[in-house]
Amino acid sequence: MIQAKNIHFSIGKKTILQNVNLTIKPGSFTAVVGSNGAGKSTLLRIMSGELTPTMGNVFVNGTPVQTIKTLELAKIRAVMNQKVLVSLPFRANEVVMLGRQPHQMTHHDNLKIVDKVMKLTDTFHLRNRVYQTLSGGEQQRVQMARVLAQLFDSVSLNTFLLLDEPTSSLDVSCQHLIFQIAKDLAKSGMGVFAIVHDLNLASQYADEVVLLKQGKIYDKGIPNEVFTEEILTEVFDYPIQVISLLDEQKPIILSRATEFNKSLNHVNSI
Amino acid sequence: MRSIFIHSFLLSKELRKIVYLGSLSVLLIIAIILSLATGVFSISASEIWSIVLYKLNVIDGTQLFSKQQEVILWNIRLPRVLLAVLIGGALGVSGASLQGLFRNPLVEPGLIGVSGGAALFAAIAIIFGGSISFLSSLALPGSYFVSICAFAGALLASIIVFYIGGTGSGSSVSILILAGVAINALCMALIGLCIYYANDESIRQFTFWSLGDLGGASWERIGLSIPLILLPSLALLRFQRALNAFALGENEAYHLGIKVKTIRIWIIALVALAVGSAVAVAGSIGFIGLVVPHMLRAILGPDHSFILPGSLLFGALLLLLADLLARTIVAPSEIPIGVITALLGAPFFLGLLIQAKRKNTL
Repeated sequence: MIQAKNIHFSIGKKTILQNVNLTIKPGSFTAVVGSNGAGKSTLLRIMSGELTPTMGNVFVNGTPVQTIKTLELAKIRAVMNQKVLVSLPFRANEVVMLGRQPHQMTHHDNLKIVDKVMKLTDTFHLRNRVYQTLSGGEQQRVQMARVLAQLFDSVSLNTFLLLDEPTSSLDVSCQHLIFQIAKDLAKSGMGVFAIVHDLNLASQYADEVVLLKQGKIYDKGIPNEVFTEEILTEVFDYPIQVISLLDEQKPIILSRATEFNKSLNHVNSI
Repeated sequence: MRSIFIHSFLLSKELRKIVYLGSLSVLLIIAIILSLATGVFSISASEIWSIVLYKLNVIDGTQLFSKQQEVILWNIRLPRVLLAVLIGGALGVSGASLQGLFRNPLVEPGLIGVSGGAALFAAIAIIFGGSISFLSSLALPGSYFVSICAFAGALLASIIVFYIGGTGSGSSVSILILAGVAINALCMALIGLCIYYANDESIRQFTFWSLGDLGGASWERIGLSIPLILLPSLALLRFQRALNAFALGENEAYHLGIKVKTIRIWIIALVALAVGSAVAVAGSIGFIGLVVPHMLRAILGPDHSFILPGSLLFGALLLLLADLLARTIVAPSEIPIGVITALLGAPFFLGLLIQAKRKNTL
């Protein structure tokens, strides 16, 4: 498991994260939600070992993350960021192949894995296209294929997938495709950790949700318990409605345009 | 059936690599023989072969060639050709490595300050060298003195650029590039100041230095160039996989298991050493480091396992041919080699840009 213990992070005098304790458990899908600037991405970067916290530490399977070799870490955890720009005109399948870099395997076996993960993410038909010519959503699916390739056939080990808004450019069906893959991986034993903007996706797929507000964990638990109107309205500073259907365990979250817009009113008064 | 197809794909990639790099090597060998044979005194391929074998004590065939041919080939042309190969290869592979590291196609080796620093120190050495009594008392031959100063300047400038832009937690590629631009601008300004105080003779000498010259080649210099230019160039070939990962960005490369900071330091240090030494030996030769990786990517694609060794071979080939032109067009005089590389390189590069714009692949 990946454990964050008493994480504090600040840049200059600005505190980004305060006293965050969090565990990514194998076999579980953890979603982080919170408003912009709540510190979600910083938290993910700290959990991945990319950033060193000002105080506290991150442990991967019990070992402090800074003491694990970069290459060994890459074999057990993959990270997908919101938007990845590729600087050279690599083809989509070459980008996915980069995910195999940490592993000592024959080119032949790696090619098979690349084909499999591209079929899984519905990008196989794009394999010979130059990455830069793909749409934002297609690029995101190719990146998903790359991180899957990185963790492929090491699912039995203690592996972790960290996703920073994996579906920000995707249409509805692709959003569900990606989250279903993540959910399946969690079921097969992987620890999945994702920053999610769409509260309904978090509600439907996550085993545990973490609500982050101004650098602190406001609450965490299973979606049914923490996705209440009261908590969500407080976390997002915006009126939110929650509908619980009887035949459905997962709450549905709605937000409406507020009747009079405070900020606009403010502008008019000037 | 499917696995047969995959096998053929696998083979075709490995085969492509062997075919492309093999044909570049063959072209390079042909160019070397052509360069050795061409000049005011022409020497045939069989005579070249006999002289080389004779010098290596394999045969005792002094009747197969004249003494004059032997001296020209062994003491003048061969060191010059080898130097062109070493320097061209170093510029090519350095340019490819830096473009990969910085994720920027406009980068050339001079960007990390080496050319600017070398030029400034060379200018100081040429213009004020004679008047500094302490330095003249070292009794170094003039050209060596300039080379040593240029080498020191190249290393100093690249260390400053790297210190400002390449270390610490907040370091980023753009800061490094901008630091390089600023250091180069500062060096140019100080060179201008030196020139203001210089006499006509030393201005002329410095101008020729700054356009590059392989004429100073000797076996002694080749001996120095092997550890200082060839070894760092070959060491850069180790970073093929890492540079492919860098194409995704430094954070992604880290997540893929690449030690980003360590590799950044290594690549910059190796390039500074190789290009700094190259500039010290032969002056600043522009365009090879910028153009070679682009030409190759247009043919071979972006994969660094092709581009790095390819740039080494192709850079060597191009500089060798440029030097051949430089010393034959106006023989027995010579055109500065930097003029040739820029004169031929710039229009070709513009053509590549127009093509890339059309295909949207830069």
